[in-house]
Amino acid sequence: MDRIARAYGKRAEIAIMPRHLHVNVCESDGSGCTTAISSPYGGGISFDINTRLSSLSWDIADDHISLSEAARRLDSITEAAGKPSWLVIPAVALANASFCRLFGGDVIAMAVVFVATLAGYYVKTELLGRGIDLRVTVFVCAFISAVLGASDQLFGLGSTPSTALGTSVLYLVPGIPFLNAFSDTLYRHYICSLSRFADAIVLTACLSAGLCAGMALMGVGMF
Amino acid sequence: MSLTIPLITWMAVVILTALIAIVHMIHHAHRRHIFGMGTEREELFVPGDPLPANEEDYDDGIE
Repeated sequence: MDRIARAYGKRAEIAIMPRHLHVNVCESDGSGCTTAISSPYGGGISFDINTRLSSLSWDIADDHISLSEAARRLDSITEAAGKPSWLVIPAVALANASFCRLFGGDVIAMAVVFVATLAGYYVKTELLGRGIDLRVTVFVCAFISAVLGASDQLFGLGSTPSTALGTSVLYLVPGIPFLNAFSDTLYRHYICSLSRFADAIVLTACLSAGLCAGMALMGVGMF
Repeated sequence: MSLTIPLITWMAVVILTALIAIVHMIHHAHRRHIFGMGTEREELFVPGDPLPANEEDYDDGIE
């Protein structure tokens, strides 16, 4: 945001609050300030949109595109439809199965993790699409993935059932909120950092609760 | 722990997930109108045909 403001000869000051964003844009000499306050977008994190917005900011800074053109491109980025779910869900399942392999899982464990992640991420998409609270969604999806991830232990398949169980819920770990909390701490946005850290902790607790409930009912692990 | 509870839990989760997927697919197929049921009058309407609300009424008022 600062990069875009400087490209147009302005100065931008941003205050990131837990539920609001304050943006103050002034002329380079400090006169004529305009302040806007808005709530952040309530949807999930889109790496595609983040990448395209970052690319837009560099185009503004380097190529000095006009304000109207920048606004047009901003609208097209934010209004673009997300990736189709039939592409995203198998990709996430494949990534999680790859994590299972990285942690030493065999082919059977990878297949179990693939199916568990496929089912869990699909249910997550459906529940979030219906406006169900994210914390409840994470708990339910962690439970589903844990139960399905314990399939190889239930049916005596493969040689690494514990790896399958442990990696079946990895896709729910709130890595980005933790990273954002750490980044905010580095830039001294302490209030936002603590808020995001609390959010990440709550989501991790819901994930753990779902995983433990699944493990308890399946009679595996530490129960 | 006996195998009953884990097996029942596993089957319940599988059936529930499958049901969610089936309901979603039916809902999605219904929105896309892969096939539908209706009368011929919805495809071809000639002025003067009785409207669906007045199908019982054959009296066109001409004495």
